Amino acid sequence: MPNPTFDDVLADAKAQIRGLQDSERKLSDEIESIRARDPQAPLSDQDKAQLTNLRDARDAVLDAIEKVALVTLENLDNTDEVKSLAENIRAVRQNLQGTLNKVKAIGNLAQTVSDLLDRAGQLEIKVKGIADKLKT
Amino acid sequence: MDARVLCAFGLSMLLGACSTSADYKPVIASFTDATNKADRALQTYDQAVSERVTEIRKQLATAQPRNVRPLPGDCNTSSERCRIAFFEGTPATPPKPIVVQTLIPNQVAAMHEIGLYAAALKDVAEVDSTPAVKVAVEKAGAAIASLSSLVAPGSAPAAQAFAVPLEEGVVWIYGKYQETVKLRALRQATQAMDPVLNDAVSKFGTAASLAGLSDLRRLAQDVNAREGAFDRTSSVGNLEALLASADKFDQGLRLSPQDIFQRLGEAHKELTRALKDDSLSLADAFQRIDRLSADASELFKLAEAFQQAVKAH
Repeated sequence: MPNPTFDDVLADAKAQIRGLQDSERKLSDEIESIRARDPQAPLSDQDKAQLTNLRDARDAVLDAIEKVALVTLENLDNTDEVKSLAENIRAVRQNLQGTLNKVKAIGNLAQTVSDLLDRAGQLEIKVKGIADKLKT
Repeated sequence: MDARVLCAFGLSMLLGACSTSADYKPVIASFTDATNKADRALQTYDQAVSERVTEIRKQLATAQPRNVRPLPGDCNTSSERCRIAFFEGTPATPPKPIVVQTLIPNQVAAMHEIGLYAAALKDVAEVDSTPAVKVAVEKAGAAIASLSSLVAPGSAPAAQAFAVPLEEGVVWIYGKYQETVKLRALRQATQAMDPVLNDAVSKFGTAASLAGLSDLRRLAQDVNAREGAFDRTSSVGNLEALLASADKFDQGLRLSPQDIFQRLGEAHKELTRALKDDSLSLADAFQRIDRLSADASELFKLAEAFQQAVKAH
Protein backbone atom coordinates (compact mmCIF):
# COMPACT_ATOMS: atom_id res chain seq x y z
CA MET A 1 0.00 0.00 0.00
CA PRO A 2 1.47 3.41 -0.92
CA ASN A 3 2.33 5.81 1.85
CA PRO A 4 -0.40 8.41 2.44
CA THR A 5 0.53 11.85 1.11
CA PHE A 6 1.07 14.93 3.25
CA ASP A 7 -2.27 16.36 2.10
CA ASP A 8 -4.11 13.09 2.85
CA VAL A 9 -2.72 12.94 6.39
CA LEU A 10 -3.47 16.61 6.98
CA ALA A 11 -7.01 16.49 5.57
CA ASP A 12 -7.83 13.49 7.75
CA ALA A 13 -6.40 15.19 10.85
CA LYS A 14 -8.18 18.47 10.14
CA ALA A 15 -11.52 16.65 9.85
CA GLN A 16 -10.92 14.89 13.17
CA ILE A 17 -9.78 18.07 14.91
CA ARG A 18 -12.75 20.02 13.51
CA GLY A 19 -15.15 17.38 14.87
CA LEU A 20 -13.52 17.50 18.29
CA GLN A 21 -13.51 21.30 18.30
CA ASP A 22 -17.25 21.24 17.56
CA SER A 23 -17.73 19.03 20.62
CA GLU A 24 -15.52 21.36 22.68
CA ARG A 25 -17.63 24.36 21.64
CA LYS A 26 -20.89 22.55 22.45
CA LEU A 27 -19.60 21.61 25.92
CA SER A 28 -18.42 25.20 26.52
CA ASP A 29 -21.85 26.51 25.47
CA GLU A 30 -23.54 24.05 27.84
CA ILE A 31 -21.27 25.08 30.72
CA GLU A 32 -21.95 28.76 30.16
CA SER A 33 -25.69 28.27 29.72
CA ILE A 34 -25.89 26.58 33.16
CA ARG A 35 -23.80 29.35 34.72
CA ALA A 36 -25.92 32.07 33.08
CA ARG A 37 -29.31 30.48 33.83
CA ASP A 38 -29.94 32.49 37.00
CA PRO A 39 -26.94 34.77 37.67
CA GLN A 40 -28.31 36.12 40.97
CA ALA A 41 -28.92 32.71 42.54
CA PRO A 42 -26.13 30.46 43.85
CA LEU A 43 -25.44 27.28 41.87
CA SER A 44 -27.47 24.31 43.05
CA ASP A 45 -25.71 21.05 43.97
CA GLN A 46 -27.14 19.51 40.83
CA ASP A 47 -25.72 22.37 38.71
CA LYS A 48 -22.35 22.00 40.41
CA ALA A 49 -22.24 18.28 39.70
CA GLN A 50 -23.32 18.87 36.11
CA LEU A 51 -20.65 21.55 35.63
CA THR A 52 -17.98 19.23 37.02
CA ASN A 53 -19.02 16.52 34.57
CA LEU A 54 -19.11 18.94 31.65
CA ARG A 55 -15.68 20.39 32.52
CA ASP A 56 -14.22 16.89 32.78
CA ALA A 57 -15.72 16.07 29.40
CA ARG A 58 -14.27 19.28 27.96
CA ASP A 59 -10.83 18.40 29.33
CA ALA A 60 -11.12 14.95 27.75
CA VAL A 61 -12.01 16.49 24.38
CA LEU A 62 -9.04 18.87 24.68
CA ASP A 63 -6.77 15.90 25.45
CA ALA A 64 -8.11 14.17 22.34
CA ILE A 65 -7.42 17.26 20.18
CA GLU A 66 -3.85 17.32 21.46
CA LYS A 67 -3.42 13.62 20.82
CA VAL A 68 -4.63 13.93 17.22
CA ALA A 69 -2.29 16.93 16.70
CA LEU A 70 0.74 15.05 18.07
CA VAL A 71 0.05 11.85 16.15
CA THR A 72 -0.49 13.92 12.98
CA LEU A 73 2.81 15.74 13.50
CA GLU A 74 4.63 12.43 13.60
CA ASN A 75 2.70 11.01 10.63
CA LEU A 76 3.28 14.11 8.50
CA ASP A 77 6.99 13.90 9.18
CA ASN A 78 6.99 10.35 7.84
CA THR A 79 5.40 11.23 4.48
CA ASP A 80 7.58 10.87 1.39
CA GLU A 81 7.22 14.60 0.60
CA VAL A 82 8.68 15.65 3.95
CA LYS A 83 11.39 12.99 3.83
CA SER A 84 12.62 14.35 0.47
CA LEU A 85 12.47 18.04 1.52
CA ALA A 86 15.93 18.21 3.05
CA GLU A 87 17.42 16.46 0.02
CA ASN A 88 15.81 18.95 -2.41
CA ILE A 89 17.09 21.91 -0.40
CA ARG A 90 20.54 20.37 -0.10
CA ALA A 91 20.79 20.03 -3.91
CA VAL A 92 20.28 23.79 -4.41
CA ARG A 93 22.68 24.63 -1.61
CA GLN A 94 25.39 22.41 -3.06
CA ASN A 95 25.23 24.29 -6.39
CA LEU A 96 25.69 27.53 -4.49
CA GLN A 97 28.53 26.00 -2.52
CA GLY A 98 30.16 25.15 -5.88
CA THR A 99 30.28 28.83 -6.83
CA LEU A 100 31.58 29.76 -3.43
CA ASN A 101 34.35 27.18 -3.76
CA LYS A 102 35.14 28.46 -7.27
CA VAL A 103 35.63 32.05 -6.07
CA LYS A 104 37.62 30.81 -3.07
CA ALA A 105 39.72 28.62 -5.39
CA ILE A 106 40.67 31.67 -7.46
CA GLY A 107 41.75 33.39 -4.24
CA ASN A 108 43.78 30.31 -3.27
CA LEU A 109 45.30 30.14 -6.75
CA ALA A 110 46.24 33.81 -6.54
CA GLN A 111 47.83 33.09 -3.15
CA THR A 112 49.81 30.21 -4.68
CA VAL A 113 50.94 32.49 -7.52
CA SER A 114 52.03 35.08 -4.93
CA ASP A 115 54.01 32.45 -3.04
CA LEU A 116 55.62 31.21 -6.25
CA LEU A 117 56.53 34.76 -7.21
CA ASP A 118 58.04 35.28 -3.76
CA ARG A 119 60.18 32.20 -4.29
CA ALA A 120 61.04 33.34 -7.80
CA GLY A 121 62.10 36.70 -6.32
CA GLN A 122 64.44 34.95 -3.89
CA LEU A 123 65.84 32.88 -6.75
CA GLU A 124 66.35 36.02 -8.79
CA ILE A 125 68.37 37.59 -5.95
CA LYS A 126 70.55 34.48 -5.88
CA VAL A 127 70.98 34.52 -9.68
CA LYS A 128 71.85 38.21 -9.52
CA GLY A 129 74.41 37.48 -6.79
CA ILE A 130 76.01 34.74 -8.90
CA ALA A 131 76.02 37.04 -11.98
CA ASP A 132 77.69 39.81 -9.91
CA LYS A 133 80.31 37.35 -8.65
CA LEU A 134 80.99 36.14 -12.19
CA LYS A 135 81.46 39.75 -13.35
CA THR A 136 84.08 40.39 -10.64
CA MET B 1 43.44 50.78 -30.55
CA ASP B 2 44.61 47.24 -29.89
CA ALA B 3 41.80 44.71 -30.40
CA ARG B 4 42.45 43.14 -26.98
CA VAL B 5 42.20 46.52 -25.24
CA LEU B 6 38.92 47.20 -27.06
CA CYS B 7 37.63 43.79 -26.06
CA ALA B 8 38.60 44.30 -22.42
CA PHE B 9 36.98 47.74 -22.44
CA GLY B 10 33.78 46.32 -23.94
CA LEU B 11 33.68 43.50 -21.40
CA SER B 12 34.26 45.86 -18.53
CA MET B 13 31.47 48.18 -19.67
CA LEU B 14 29.12 45.23 -19.97
CA LEU B 15 30.01 43.92 -16.55
CA GLY B 16 29.96 47.36 -15.00
CA ALA B 17 26.33 47.89 -16.06
CA CYS B 18 25.08 45.22 -13.63
CA SER B 19 24.33 45.77 -9.96
CA THR B 20 26.84 44.24 -7.58
CA SER B 21 26.39 41.57 -4.94
CA ALA B 22 27.36 44.22 -2.37
CA ASP B 23 23.94 45.80 -3.02
CA TYR B 24 22.31 42.61 -1.75
CA LYS B 25 24.66 41.90 1.17
CA PRO B 26 22.53 43.57 3.90
CA VAL B 27 19.25 42.08 2.69
CA ILE B 28 20.79 38.60 2.40
CA ALA B 29 22.36 38.97 5.85
CA SER B 30 18.97 39.94 7.27
CA PHE B 31 17.29 36.99 5.52
CA THR B 32 19.92 34.65 7.00
CA ASP B 33 19.25 36.07 10.46
CA ALA B 34 15.47 35.59 10.11
CA THR B 35 15.96 32.06 8.79
CA ASN B 36 18.15 31.17 11.76
CA LYS B 37 15.47 32.41 14.15
CA ALA B 38 12.76 30.40 12.36
CA ASP B 39 15.07 27.37 12.46
CA ARG B 40 15.53 27.75 16.21
CA ALA B 41 11.76 28.24 16.69
CA LEU B 42 10.95 25.01 14.84
CA GLN B 43 13.61 23.14 16.81
CA THR B 44 12.18 24.51 20.06
CA TYR B 45 8.66 23.47 19.05
CA ASP B 46 10.01 20.02 18.25
CA GLN B 47 11.73 19.76 21.63
CA ALA B 48 8.57 20.91 23.41
CA VAL B 49 6.25 18.45 21.66
CA SER B 50 8.79 15.65 22.07
CA GLU B 51 8.87 16.31 25.81
CA ARG B 52 5.07 16.40 25.86
CA VAL B 53 4.78 13.10 23.94
CA THR B 54 7.30 11.54 26.34
CA GLU B 55 5.18 12.75 29.24
CA ILE B 56 1.98 11.29 27.70
CA ARG B 57 3.70 7.97 26.94
CA LYS B 58 5.07 7.75 30.48
CA GLN B 59 1.53 8.29 31.82
CA LEU B 60 0.22 5.57 29.50
CA ALA B 61 3.07 3.27 30.40
CA THR B 62 2.46 3.58 34.13
CA ALA B 63 -1.28 3.06 33.61
CA GLN B 64 -0.73 -0.02 31.41
CA PRO B 65 2.50 -1.53 32.78
CA ARG B 66 2.22 -4.80 30.85
CA ASN B 67 2.26 -2.89 27.57
CA VAL B 68 5.80 -1.85 28.49
CA ARG B 69 8.02 -4.54 27.01
CA PRO B 70 11.39 -5.06 25.36
CA LEU B 71 11.40 -4.88 21.57
CA PRO B 72 11.18 -8.39 20.03
CA GLY B 73 14.49 -10.19 20.48
CA ASP B 74 15.94 -7.47 22.74
CA CYS B 75 17.26 -7.63 26.30
CA ASN B 76 18.77 -11.17 26.36
CA THR B 77 22.44 -11.92 26.73
CA SER B 78 22.37 -13.14 23.13
CA SER B 79 20.69 -9.88 21.95
CA GLU B 80 22.41 -7.01 20.24
CA ARG B 81 20.29 -4.34 21.92
CA CYS B 82 18.07 -3.80 24.93
CA ARG B 83 15.26 -1.32 24.21
CA ILE B 84 12.04 -0.98 26.21
CA ALA B 85 9.03 0.28 24.26
CA PHE B 86 5.33 0.90 24.69
CA PHE B 87 3.05 -1.53 22.81
CA GLU B 88 -0.45 -0.23 22.19
CA GLY B 89 -3.31 -1.02 19.85
CA THR B 90 -3.26 -4.08 17.65
CA PRO B 91 -0.23 -6.36 17.36
CA ALA B 92 0.27 -4.81 13.89
CA THR B 93 0.80 -1.35 15.41
CA PRO B 94 4.53 -0.74 15.70
CA PRO B 95 5.75 -0.32 19.29
CA LYS B 96 6.69 3.22 20.25
CA PRO B 97 9.69 4.48 22.19
CA ILE B 98 8.71 5.89 25.57
CA VAL B 99 11.27 8.66 25.52
CA VAL B 100 11.05 10.74 22.32
CA GLN B 101 14.07 12.80 21.35
CA THR B 102 12.51 14.35 18.26
CA LEU B 103 9.00 14.01 16.87
CA ILE B 104 9.64 15.68 13.51
CA PRO B 105 13.26 14.86 12.59
CA ASN B 106 12.72 15.22 8.84
CA GLN B 107 11.20 18.69 9.10
CA VAL B 108 13.84 19.84 11.54
CA ALA B 109 16.53 18.55 9.14
CA ALA B 110 14.87 20.35 6.20
CA MET B 111 14.61 23.62 8.13
CA HIS B 112 18.24 23.25 9.14
CA GLU B 113 19.12 22.83 5.45
CA ILE B 114 17.31 26.10 4.72
CA GLY B 115 19.47 27.72 7.38
CA LEU B 116 22.59 26.36 5.69
CA TYR B 117 21.28 27.56 2.32
CA ALA B 118 20.75 31.08 3.71
CA ALA B 119 24.27 31.01 5.18
CA ALA B 120 25.65 29.93 1.78
CA LEU B 121 23.81 32.85 0.12
CA LYS B 122 25.46 35.17 2.63
CA ASP B 123 28.89 33.58 2.07
CA VAL B 124 28.59 33.94 -1.70
CA ALA B 125 27.49 37.59 -1.37
CA GLU B 126 30.46 38.29 0.92
CA VAL B 127 33.27 36.18 -0.57
CA ASP B 128 35.95 38.27 -2.24
CA SER B 129 39.17 36.93 -3.68
CA THR B 130 40.02 40.29 -5.32
CA PRO B 131 42.56 41.21 -2.57
CA ALA B 132 44.45 37.94 -3.15
CA VAL B 133 44.34 38.48 -6.91
CA LYS B 134 45.55 42.06 -6.42
CA VAL B 135 48.56 40.92 -4.37
CA ALA B 136 49.42 38.23 -6.93
CA VAL B 137 49.13 40.64 -9.84
CA GLU B 138 51.22 43.30 -8.10
CA LYS B 139 53.91 40.73 -7.38
CA ALA B 140 53.75 39.59 -10.98
CA GLY B 141 54.24 43.19 -12.11
CA ALA B 142 57.24 43.59 -9.79
CA ALA B 143 58.65 40.27 -11.02
CA ILE B 144 58.31 41.36 -14.66
CA ALA B 145 60.16 44.62 -13.86
CA SER B 146 63.03 42.87 -12.08
CA LEU B 147 63.23 40.15 -14.71
CA SER B 148 63.47 42.81 -17.40
CA SER B 149 66.28 44.50 -15.45
CA LEU B 150 68.17 41.21 -15.47
CA VAL B 151 67.63 40.66 -19.16
CA ALA B 152 68.02 44.25 -20.23
CA PRO B 153 69.61 46.39 -17.50
CA GLY B 154 67.99 49.82 -17.24
CA SER B 155 64.62 48.73 -18.61
CA ALA B 156 62.95 48.28 -15.18
CA PRO B 157 61.39 51.78 -14.97
CA ALA B 158 59.85 51.36 -18.42
CA ALA B 159 58.57 47.89 -17.55
CA GLN B 160 57.16 49.19 -14.25
CA ALA B 161 55.40 52.07 -16.05
CA PHE B 162 53.74 49.53 -18.33
CA ALA B 163 52.96 47.05 -15.56
CA VAL B 164 51.12 49.35 -13.12
CA PRO B 165 48.10 50.21 -15.33
CA LEU B 166 47.98 46.62 -16.52
CA GLU B 167 47.86 45.36 -12.90
CA GLU B 168 45.05 47.75 -12.05
CA GLY B 169 43.14 46.73 -15.16
CA VAL B 170 43.50 43.03 -14.47
CA VAL B 171 42.36 43.43 -10.86
CA TRP B 172 39.42 45.60 -11.88
CA ILE B 173 38.29 43.19 -14.61
CA TYR B 174 38.71 40.25 -12.23
CA GLY B 175 36.56 42.07 -9.67
CA LYS B 176 33.85 42.57 -12.27
CA TYR B 177 34.09 38.94 -13.40
CA GLN B 178 33.79 37.79 -9.80
CA GLU B 179 30.69 39.93 -9.32
CA THR B 180 29.10 38.41 -12.42
CA VAL B 181 29.81 34.88 -11.20
CA LYS B 182 28.45 35.67 -7.74
CA LEU B 183 25.31 37.41 -8.94
CA ARG B 184 24.56 34.65 -11.42
CA ALA B 185 24.94 32.06 -8.66
CA LEU B 186 22.70 34.03 -6.28
CA ARG B 187 20.04 34.42 -8.98
CA GLN B 188 20.13 30.78 -10.02
CA ALA B 189 20.06 29.53 -6.43
CA THR B 190 17.18 31.75 -5.30
CA GLN B 191 15.13 30.90 -8.39
CA ALA B 192 15.74 27.17 -7.98
CA MET B 193 15.02 27.36 -4.24
CA ASP B 194 11.87 29.46 -4.43
CA PRO B 195 9.31 26.69 -5.16
CA VAL B 196 11.11 24.24 -2.84
CA LEU B 197 11.25 26.76 -0.01
CA ASN B 198 7.61 27.78 -0.39
CA ASP B 199 6.54 24.17 -0.20
CA ALA B 200 8.81 23.61 2.83
CA VAL B 201 7.69 26.65 4.83
CA SER B 202 4.05 25.77 4.25
CA LYS B 203 4.75 22.35 5.77
CA PHE B 204 6.72 23.86 8.69
CA GLY B 205 3.82 26.26 9.33
CA THR B 206 1.44 23.30 9.53
CA ALA B 207 3.81 21.54 11.92
CA ALA B 208 4.17 24.61 14.14
CA SER B 209 0.38 25.08 14.21
CA LEU B 210 -0.17 21.45 15.25
CA ALA B 211 2.53 21.81 17.90
CA GLY B 212 0.77 25.00 18.99
CA LEU B 213 -2.48 23.03 19.50
CA SER B 214 -0.72 21.09 22.24
CA ASP B 215 -0.03 24.37 24.02
CA LEU B 216 -3.59 25.60 23.41
CA ARG B 217 -4.90 22.41 25.04
CA ARG B 218 -2.93 23.25 28.19
CA LEU B 219 -4.11 26.88 28.20
CA ALA B 220 -7.77 25.93 27.58
CA GLN B 221 -7.71 23.37 30.39
CA ASP B 222 -6.21 25.96 32.70
CA VAL B 223 -9.06 28.42 31.95
CA ASN B 224 -11.54 25.57 32.45
CA ALA B 225 -10.06 24.77 35.87
CA ARG B 226 -9.84 28.43 36.96
CA GLU B 227 -13.47 29.03 36.03
CA GLY B 228 -14.47 25.97 38.06
CA ALA B 229 -12.50 27.28 41.04
CA PHE B 230 -14.16 30.69 40.71
CA ASP B 231 -17.60 29.02 40.64
CA ARG B 232 -16.80 27.17 43.84
CA THR B 233 -15.28 30.20 45.63
CA SER B 234 -15.96 33.58 44.03
CA SER B 235 -12.98 35.34 45.66
CA VAL B 236 -10.96 38.19 44.15
CA GLY B 237 -7.94 35.87 44.10
CA ASN B 238 -9.80 33.27 42.02
CA LEU B 239 -11.17 35.97 39.74
CA GLU B 240 -7.64 37.32 39.13
CA ALA B 241 -6.35 33.81 38.49
CA LEU B 242 -9.14 33.28 35.94
CA LEU B 243 -8.41 36.60 34.20
CA ALA B 244 -4.66 35.91 34.05
CA SER B 245 -5.28 32.42 32.68
CA ALA B 246 -7.68 33.77 30.03
CA ASP B 247 -5.13 36.41 29.07
CA LYS B 248 -2.48 33.74 28.42
CA PHE B 249 -4.94 31.70 26.37
CA ASP B 250 -5.85 34.83 24.41
CA GLN B 251 -2.17 35.44 23.56
CA GLY B 252 -1.80 31.83 22.47
CA LEU B 253 -4.87 32.05 20.25
CA ARG B 254 -3.66 35.22 18.55
CA LEU B 255 -0.31 33.70 17.67
CA SER B 256 -0.18 32.21 14.19
CA PRO B 257 3.06 30.30 13.57
CA GLN B 258 1.76 29.39 10.13
CA ASP B 259 1.75 33.08 9.12
CA ILE B 260 5.35 33.56 10.20
CA PHE B 261 6.60 30.62 8.15
CA GLN B 262 4.50 31.86 5.24
CA ARG B 263 6.21 35.26 5.58
CA LEU B 264 9.57 33.51 5.39
CA GLY B 265 8.50 32.18 1.99
CA GLU B 266 7.27 35.61 0.91
CA ALA B 267 10.54 37.24 1.99
CA HIS B 268 12.48 34.73 -0.08
CA LYS B 269 10.21 35.41 -3.06
CA GLU B 270 10.93 39.13 -2.69
CA LEU B 271 14.67 38.45 -2.55
CA THR B 272 14.42 36.26 -5.65
CA ARG B 273 12.54 39.00 -7.52
CA ALA B 274 14.99 41.70 -6.46
CA LEU B 275 17.97 39.60 -7.59
CA LYS B 276 16.26 38.67 -10.85
CA ASP B 277 15.31 42.17 -11.85
CA ASP B 278 17.90 44.92 -11.28
CA SER B 279 15.31 47.61 -11.83
CA LEU B 280 13.31 46.55 -8.78
CA SER B 281 13.92 48.45 -5.60
CA LEU B 282 15.45 46.49 -2.78
CA ALA B 283 13.42 48.55 -0.32
CA ASP B 284 10.46 46.14 -0.41
CA ALA B 285 12.68 43.15 0.23
CA PHE B 286 14.41 45.01 3.09
CA GLN B 287 11.12 45.99 4.68
CA ARG B 288 9.60 42.52 4.41
CA ILE B 289 12.70 40.73 5.66
CA ASP B 290 13.17 43.15 8.57
CA ARG B 291 9.58 42.51 9.68
CA LEU B 292 10.09 38.79 9.23
CA SER B 293 13.17 38.90 11.42
CA ALA B 294 11.18 40.59 14.22
CA ASP B 295 8.28 38.12 13.80
CA ALA B 296 10.63 35.15 13.83
CA SER B 297 12.08 36.44 17.13
CA GLU B 298 8.56 36.54 18.57
CA LEU B 299 7.87 33.02 17.32
CA PHE B 300 11.06 31.79 18.94
CA LYS B 301 10.12 33.44 22.25
CA LEU B 302 6.67 31.83 22.17
CA ALA B 303 8.11 28.45 21.29
CA GLU B 304 10.48 28.83 24.24
CA ALA B 305 7.61 29.76 26.56
CA PHE B 306 5.73 26.67 25.35
CA GLN B 307 8.76 24.50 26.04
CA GLN B 308 9.14 25.96 29.55
CA ALA B 309 5.43 25.36 30.20
CA VAL B 310 5.77 21.71 29.17
CA LYS B 311 8.79 21.34 31.46
CA ALA B 312 7.00 22.99 34.37
CA HIS B 313 3.90 20.82 33.91
